[in-house]
Amino acid sequence: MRTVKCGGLALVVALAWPAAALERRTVKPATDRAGNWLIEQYNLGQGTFGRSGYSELPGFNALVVKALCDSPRQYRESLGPFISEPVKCLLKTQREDGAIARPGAGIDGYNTALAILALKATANPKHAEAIAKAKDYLLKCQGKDGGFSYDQGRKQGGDLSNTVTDLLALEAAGLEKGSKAYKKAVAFIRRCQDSPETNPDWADAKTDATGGAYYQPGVSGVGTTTTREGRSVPKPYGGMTAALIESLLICDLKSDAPELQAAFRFFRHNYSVKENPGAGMQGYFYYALAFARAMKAAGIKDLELADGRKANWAEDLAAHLLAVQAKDGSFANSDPKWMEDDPVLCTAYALQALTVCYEAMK
Amino acid sequence: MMVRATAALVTMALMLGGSVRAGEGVKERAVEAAKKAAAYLVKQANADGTFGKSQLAPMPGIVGLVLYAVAKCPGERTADEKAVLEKAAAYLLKCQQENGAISLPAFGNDNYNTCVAVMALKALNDPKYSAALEKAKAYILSSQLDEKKGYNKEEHKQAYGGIGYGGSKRPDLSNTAFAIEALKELGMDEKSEEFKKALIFVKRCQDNLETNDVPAMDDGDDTGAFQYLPGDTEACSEMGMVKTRKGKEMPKPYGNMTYQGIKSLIYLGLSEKGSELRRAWNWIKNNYSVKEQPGGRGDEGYFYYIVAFAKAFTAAGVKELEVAGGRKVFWAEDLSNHVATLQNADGSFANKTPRWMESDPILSTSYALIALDLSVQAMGQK
Repeated sequence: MRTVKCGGLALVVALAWPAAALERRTVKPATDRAGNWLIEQYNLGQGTFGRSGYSELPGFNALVVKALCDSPRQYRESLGPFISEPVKCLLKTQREDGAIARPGAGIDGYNTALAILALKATANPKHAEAIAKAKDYLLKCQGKDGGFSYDQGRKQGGDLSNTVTDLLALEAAGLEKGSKAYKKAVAFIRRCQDSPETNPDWADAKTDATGGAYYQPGVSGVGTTTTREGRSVPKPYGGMTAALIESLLICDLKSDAPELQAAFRFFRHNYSVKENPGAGMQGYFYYALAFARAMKAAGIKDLELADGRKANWAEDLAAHLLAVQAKDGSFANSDPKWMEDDPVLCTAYALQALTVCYEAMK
Repeated sequence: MMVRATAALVTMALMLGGSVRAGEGVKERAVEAAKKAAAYLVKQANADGTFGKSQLAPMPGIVGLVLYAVAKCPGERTADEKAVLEKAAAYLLKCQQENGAISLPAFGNDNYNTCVAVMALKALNDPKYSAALEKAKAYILSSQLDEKKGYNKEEHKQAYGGIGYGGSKRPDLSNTAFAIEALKELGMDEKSEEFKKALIFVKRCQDNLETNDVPAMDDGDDTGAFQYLPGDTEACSEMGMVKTRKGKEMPKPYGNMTYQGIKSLIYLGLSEKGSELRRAWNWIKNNYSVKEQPGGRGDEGYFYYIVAFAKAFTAAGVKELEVAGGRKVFWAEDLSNHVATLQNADGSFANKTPRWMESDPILSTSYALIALDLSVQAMGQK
């Protein structure tokens, strides 16, 4: 610990003293405010939230439904039309092949995965059949490379964001551990990581071995970065690194696996609850949620940082989200990338992230 | 020698299960405690009509609660007291919003604030508040979750007919009970559609297999007690979960909601002979306490509890109750005796446990004063 000469004893004590812990009961009212704000955005009789064009997408409304169902207030279909109606819409939108998607809107796989997660979150056993059908559709979205993409058979191959969403949905839909789909996915996920040790694509290349991950093998999503040796490589960032941790854990890799150890290393060196490490405010709320889920799934309470500090990520993240929450309960991102120009989406992500923190603070 | 003999007699009486009546002067002590509490509250009056110096002071519900408690206090109001109450009432009127709610955006809780303000203004019994009260009534009714808000009786079993924190917010029995009481004060008819719908919600909050039609509540222990809102999730009780005989984790029913449930059922016109009230009282008989909330957690919400307790007994017109073991209790004596022991030297009350804002002495003193007022009233009629 650094001591400041002129400050004397008081300053040393202040530095050594841990910051006042955020109490769990302070987090719950923030989830209430966010939840109430989302409920106010509900369009009665429409099954949709908000006024942006995104509300045309089943997955968008599904995300809000899941956020409300998972929140400490445990909203259910029997608690109001803002859950029962969107759920009915999701079911009505389901196609013969199991996809829950709007015709012509594309990204059918992504919508279907988010719909599965919402239907599961309602805890209503009546949706088991719809979930099973959607699961079968989703399994067909897995490409030859093992990754999942927005739709079946996309030429550009899988990406890590769709892969984590689909894996979360498949797990929620009850896909057994040890299934082939998980094994195939691992091979793909590895190729999205800046880890020469485990990424076959980088086996002979010299990268900085940050352990971070990016959107697709060889494609970052947030541009490139220059390695210490002056080479231009895809830039790893927080959102995808968290997605990698979650994905691999669903695929039953253990925390001591070299892929996961490398990913934890990325966060030890790039820990932030205020921005998406490597990407600034781009996709911040997506990151906040993915990071919280990843840390909780890994069973990490205090993350030991590269400088020796221990970070209680749940308290840190919840405290920051509380600080940036608007008075009306909503959240907004100054950076519009990845649809985060819509406060409904930001608030749904933030509510889920706060809920994960609230659970982790137990 | 004398003391020892008396003690022996009391012990014997307790062992025999007979009632032990508090000595003479119980009512007088209660009146004295109430007057001290009222004097404390009046002394905290600020120039703007609010009370106390805490951050909660501007909250209309707090102002309304003081006003209600002091206005209902035994005896006549002095000119000074009347002036303080008038000012508090004027403050409440200033807080009335365009939509009729008597609340401030900074504090939220629109339904609680409005209901308490309604009861407070009503307690002053002055026709000059009629217009404001009508507007407030319209606001409270606008928050009821029914067809106009897309709710339906069968599909939305956890919510239909209930009222929450206001607007479209999810319902709970506490907010609904406050709304029912305020509406009752405003002369709402038991046969009104609104009260019929509220009754559906209140009945669904009861752990009563005979009358509760919510399938999610089939695994309860059939205790007759009430929970926070219908359903089987942890969010349906403020007191966590309890393992029932069927081996399922269910929301724990508790005292605050049970007394609120009883009071509400009576206001909504249910017969005391019906299964709902019979079984609720049965739970009370087995869980009678003036010292802590049965089914609760220590001191949490104790002052809210004593108000709900006194109001339920008052609404039922019950003065004596035969509790488990055949013991006859006089709730007003028990309650006022115990509450008086909690009073601070300056007349105030405060909860050591801050939950639900009860460490605020303005709030807790008002609650205690209401409980004392009702106890004195009950002893007066004896």
